[in-house]
Amino acid sequence: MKTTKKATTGLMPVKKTLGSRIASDLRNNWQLHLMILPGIILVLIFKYAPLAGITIAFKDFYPARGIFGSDWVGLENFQYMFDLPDTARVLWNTLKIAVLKIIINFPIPIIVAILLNEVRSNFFKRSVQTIVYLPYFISWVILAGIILDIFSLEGIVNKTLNAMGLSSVFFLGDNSKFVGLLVGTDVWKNFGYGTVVYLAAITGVDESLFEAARIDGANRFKQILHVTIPSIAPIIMLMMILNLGNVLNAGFEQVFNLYNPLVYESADIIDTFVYRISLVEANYSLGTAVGLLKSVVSFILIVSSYALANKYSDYTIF
Amino acid sequence: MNSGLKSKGIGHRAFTVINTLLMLALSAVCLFPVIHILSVSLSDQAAVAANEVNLLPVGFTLASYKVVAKRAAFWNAFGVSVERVILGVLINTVLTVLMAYPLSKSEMKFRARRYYVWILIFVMVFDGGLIPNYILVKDLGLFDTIWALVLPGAVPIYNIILCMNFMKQLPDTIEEAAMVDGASYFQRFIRIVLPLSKPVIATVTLFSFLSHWNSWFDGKIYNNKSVHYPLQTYLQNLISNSDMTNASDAIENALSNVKTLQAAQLFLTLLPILLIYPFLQKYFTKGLTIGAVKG
Amino acid sequence: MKKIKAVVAVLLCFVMLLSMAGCGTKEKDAGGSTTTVEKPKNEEDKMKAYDPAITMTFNKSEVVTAYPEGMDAQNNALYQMWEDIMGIKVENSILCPSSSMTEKMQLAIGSNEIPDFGIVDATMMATLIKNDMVEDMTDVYNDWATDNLKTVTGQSDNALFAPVTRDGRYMAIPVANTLGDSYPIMWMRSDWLAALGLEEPKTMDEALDIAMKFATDDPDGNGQKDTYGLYLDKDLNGLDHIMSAYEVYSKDEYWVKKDDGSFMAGCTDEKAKVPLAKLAELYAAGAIDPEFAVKDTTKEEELIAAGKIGIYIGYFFNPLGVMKDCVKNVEGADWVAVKMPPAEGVASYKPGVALNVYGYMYAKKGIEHPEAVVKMMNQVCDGFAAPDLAKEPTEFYTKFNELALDDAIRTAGPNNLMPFQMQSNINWGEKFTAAVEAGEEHVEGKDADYQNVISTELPEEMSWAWKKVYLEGYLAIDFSNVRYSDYAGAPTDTAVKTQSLLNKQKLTDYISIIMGDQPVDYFDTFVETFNSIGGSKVAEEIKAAAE
Repeated sequence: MKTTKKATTGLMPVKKTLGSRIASDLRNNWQLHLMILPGIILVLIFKYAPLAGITIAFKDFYPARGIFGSDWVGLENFQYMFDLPDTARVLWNTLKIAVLKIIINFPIPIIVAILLNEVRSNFFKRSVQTIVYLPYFISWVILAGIILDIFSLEGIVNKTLNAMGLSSVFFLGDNSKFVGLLVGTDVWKNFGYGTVVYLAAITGVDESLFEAARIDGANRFKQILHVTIPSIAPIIMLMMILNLGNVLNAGFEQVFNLYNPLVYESADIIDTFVYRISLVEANYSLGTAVGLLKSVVSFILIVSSYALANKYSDYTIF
Repeated sequence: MNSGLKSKGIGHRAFTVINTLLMLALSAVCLFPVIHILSVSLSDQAAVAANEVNLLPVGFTLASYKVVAKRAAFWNAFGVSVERVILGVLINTVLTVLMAYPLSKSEMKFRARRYYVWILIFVMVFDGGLIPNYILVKDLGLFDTIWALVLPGAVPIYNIILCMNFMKQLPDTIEEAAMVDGASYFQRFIRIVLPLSKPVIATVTLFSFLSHWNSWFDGKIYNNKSVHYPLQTYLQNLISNSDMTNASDAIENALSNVKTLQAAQLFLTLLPILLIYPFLQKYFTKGLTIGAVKG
Repeated sequence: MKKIKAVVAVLLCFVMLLSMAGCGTKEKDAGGSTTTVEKPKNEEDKMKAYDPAITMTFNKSEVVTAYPEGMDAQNNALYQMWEDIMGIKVENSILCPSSSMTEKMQLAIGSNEIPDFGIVDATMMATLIKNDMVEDMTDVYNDWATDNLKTVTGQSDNALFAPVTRDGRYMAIPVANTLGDSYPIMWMRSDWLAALGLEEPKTMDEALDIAMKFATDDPDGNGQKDTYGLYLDKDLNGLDHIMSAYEVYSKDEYWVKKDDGSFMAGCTDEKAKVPLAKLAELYAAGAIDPEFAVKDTTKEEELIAAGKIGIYIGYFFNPLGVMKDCVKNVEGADWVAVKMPPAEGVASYKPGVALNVYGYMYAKKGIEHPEAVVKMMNQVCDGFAAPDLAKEPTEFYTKFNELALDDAIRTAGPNNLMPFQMQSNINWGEKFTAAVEAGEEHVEGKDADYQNVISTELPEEMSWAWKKVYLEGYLAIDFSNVRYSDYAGAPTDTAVKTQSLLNKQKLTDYISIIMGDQPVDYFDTFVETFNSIGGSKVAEEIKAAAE
C-alpha cells in the first residue's frame, strides 16, 4: 500500500487545462468511469440528496413549510442545545463512554484473534470463531435482561465474588461501576466481529515469514510481536480509523436498555437525553443539530487520522 | 498456517492448555445468551415469567414452536427477510466489485479515483437525517416495497473499502500481461480480477448478508404497512409492545405475546445465521487474507 | 492540502446541486383554507351513511398479533361493517404497533403527509397544532356530535378536551377511555394475609404495615426471609397512587392549584414526606426489593410471578399479566383486589389520574369531510362505548354483537379489529357479576371477555385471571371519585424545554430518599432544585395560561 502521492505531485507541474485533463481521462478510462457510474448514481440519490436535510439544523423547521420554506435561525438550535441544563454533563458522559469503548474494544479482538490462531484444531478454531460472533446478533433489549440477571446482587457474578470472600458489588446502581459495565458488555457483544476480521488477516500472513523468524530463533511470543502484528498492521489501522468516527456514539440502544435513575449521573448520554426531550415535544431541528455535530466531529477525526497515517506510515487506506 | 513449534517445552504446553481453556471460557460466555433464549423458548410460560430459567428449560414444552408454526405474520416477515437478503446481497455485491475495481487503480492510471473515494467517505460519515431520507424514499415511491429496504443501502461503502484494498494487492504483473495482449479494463476485470477476488467477494457477500438479515430500523421507517416488515422489525415490535398500559394490551399479551413465544421467534431468527455462517466461513477466512496483509 | 481543498469544493458543489434538485420537492401548502362544513339537517343526519361511500386514510395502532383466518388489519369483518353502516371506507395508511406509532407519526408530520384522520397523544397533538396541520373541530363537534357522544367525550365538564384546547377552540376530539384503565387497585396476596392472620387494610398506613409484616413474618412459611412486602420498580410505578392516599398528587406533569390561585407541581407537596418516610422505612427493613431502582417493570414483575411480592398497586387487568403466573407457580397462591384505602385521617381515597383517553382524534386540515370523524364517533358511542345511553339498539350495536359471536373474531378481539374504539365509564364488573349470577350466556358489548370469564376450557390460571379481573378487580373501582391535574393544557414554553429534566429530578430524588441515601428532609432540597431548574417558571406560565 505504498502511497501514490509522490507520483501524483510529480505530474502536477505539467499544467494542462482542467478541461483537457478531464477529456483525456475520460478517453483513457471511460470503462472505469462506467463501472463506477451505477454505484455513484445511487450514492448521489440516496446519500447526497438527503444531505440537504442538514439545513434543518440551522432552521426553525416547520414540516408544513418544507425544508426549504422554513426560516433560517443560524446557530440557534446549537445554542439551545448548549443552553439546556445538563448538556455539559451529558456531553462529557458521551465522550467518556465512547472513548473508553473505542480504547477497550480496540485491542481485545486483536488479542483474541492472535490467541485463537494459536489453537491447533481447525474444528475447534472455527467453532470458537462462530460462537464468539453470536452475541453480535442479539439485540440489546434481550441482552439487557440477561445482563441484569448476571450482574444483579443475586446474580452469578456477585455469587462468585462472595464465594471468593469478597463483598457484593452493586454494578447496576453504582455510578463508579456502571460505566465499566457498559464498556464490558459492549465488548462482549461486539468483540467477535473484530476477532473474525483480524483472524482472517492473521491466517493470511505469509508462512515463510514465520519460518524465517523461527530460524532466527524467535519464540512464539517474538513471532507474534515481530511477524504477526506488523503483518496485520494495515487492517488494524483501517479498523482504528473507521472506529474513530464513533467518538460521539456511546450507544443509545445499550444505554437506554440498561440505565436507571441511580446512574443517570454517569450514564446519561446525548442520545438518551435528546430522546427524553423529544418525548415532551418533537423537536426535529434539535435532533438534526445533534446528528450534524456528531458527523462533523467524526469527519474531522477520520480525515486527520487518515492524514496522519498517510504521512507517518505511508498507508493509503482509502 | 503457522501451527506448531518443533520444540515443545513445558512452557509451551502450559500455554496451550491455558489458551484452550481461555477460548472455551470465551465461547461459554458468548454462547450463554443463545442457550438462554433457546431454553426460555422451550420452557413453561409461568416459570419463565418468574425468571426461573437459566441454562436448562423448566417444564419442557414445544408449545411455543407449535404456536409460532401457525403464526402467519412471523412467516410472512421471514419471507420478506429472505427476499430482501437475496435481492440486497446481489445488488450490494455487484456494486461493490464494480466500484472497488476502478478505485483500486493507482492515481497515476486513474486520476479521478481520489474524487470518487472521497465522495464515498464523506457520506460514510455525514447523513441527512431521518426526515430527509424518509421524504426521499417516499417521493421515489419506494414505500412499502422491497426496494425501500434494498436501494438506500445499495452501495456498502465499508465493503467497497475492504474490497478495494484487496484488489490493490493483486499482483500487477498478470494484469499488465493481459494489457499487452490488448485486453480492455472490462476484459481484465472479468477474466483476471474477478476470479482472483473470489475470497473477498465471499467476504463482502457475508457482510451484506449479515447486515441485511440483522437490520430492523429501515423496515420500521420505510413501511407503512406491517405486512411488509422484515423479520427483525417484526421482532423488535413484538418485544417493545409487551408493555401493558391498558386492558386491550393486557388481554392481547396474555393471549399471544408471552415471553416464551418471543424467545421461540428470536431463536428461529438466529437459526439461519447459525447455519449459514460456518458454511461461508471458509471463504471468509481466506477472504481478508490477501486483502489486508502485505503493505 | 490542495487535494483536500479540491475534494471539499467538489463535494460542496454536489450538495448544492442536489439540494436544489433532490430533496424536499414537495413544498406543499398546508391545506391553507379551512373547508366549510355543512350542518346536519336533523338528528338522523348525524348517523347517516355516506352514499356513495367515502374513503379516509387513518393511522391504525395494531394490537392484534394473530388475526382470524383470512383477515388482516385492513380486510376484516369489522372494517367491512364500518363501510356498510357508515359509508366510510377506512384505509390504514399507517399501520404499526403502538410502540412505533410516535415515530411513524413524527416522520409523517415531518414530511407533511399525515393521514386524513388519526388518533395521537397530547404531545403529538401539540406538534400538529403548532404546525397548523389540523382542522379546528369546535364547530364540527358542536354541530355534528350527538348528545350521547357529548355525554361521553364531554365528561367532567369537558375536562378531556383541555390538552387540545387553544384559545377556547377544540383542535381535536378526545377518544374517551374508561377511567378503569387508570384507576388504581391494591392487589394483595390473600393467602399471605390468611397465613399471618391479617385483615384487609382500611387505611394506607395499615397497608404499609402489612407490607412490613409480609417481609418480616415469613408469610410463605418457608423459614427464610425471602419475601418483599411492596412492589416498586425503577420508574416508581404505583408510588403516585400511594401518594394519593395522603392527598399528594405526585404524578409527572400533575399540577395542583393552590387557594391563592397559584400552581404547584404535585410532587413538590410537603405532605409527601410522610409516605416517603414510610417507604424509606420499608426499604431499610428489606420490605422492598433492594434492587428495585435498577429494574424495569418486566424485570421487577418476575418477583411477582415467583411469588415473592405481597402487595402490588396496579389496575384491574393485572391478573392477566404475571399474577396468573404466580398462581400457577406457587402452590396455594391467591390474590385479592382491595379498594385503595386513604391515609389515616383522610376521608376517602381520591386517586390522581391521567385523563382517560385513548388519544385525541384529529382531522387533517383541508379534508373534505371533517364531520365524518364525528359521525364515526357518534356510531361507536351508541353502538359500542355507551349503548346504555342510546334509546334503542343501533344497527352498529346489533351487528357488532353478532360478529362477536364468531369464535375466531372473538378470540382476536372484535374491539381491536375496529379502526378505533371508545369506552365510557361502565362498571363491567357489576354487569358481569349479575350475568354470572343469573346464568346468562352472553353479555353484549364485552361478550368476548365474558366468554372467557365463564369458560370451563381455559387453563386453570387463565380462568382464574379472567374471573379476578371482572368479578373482583373491576368492583374495586370507584368511577365517581377521581382527580385530574388542575392544569392539563398544552405544555408551556418552559415545560417543553425542562419537563424531561423535572421528571428526572423527581425520580432520582424520590428514589434516593426511599433508598435512604438521603434523609427525608432532603425533600426540601429537592423542592428547591425542582423549582430552580424550571418548576417555578412553569408554574407561573401555567398560572398565566389558566387565566
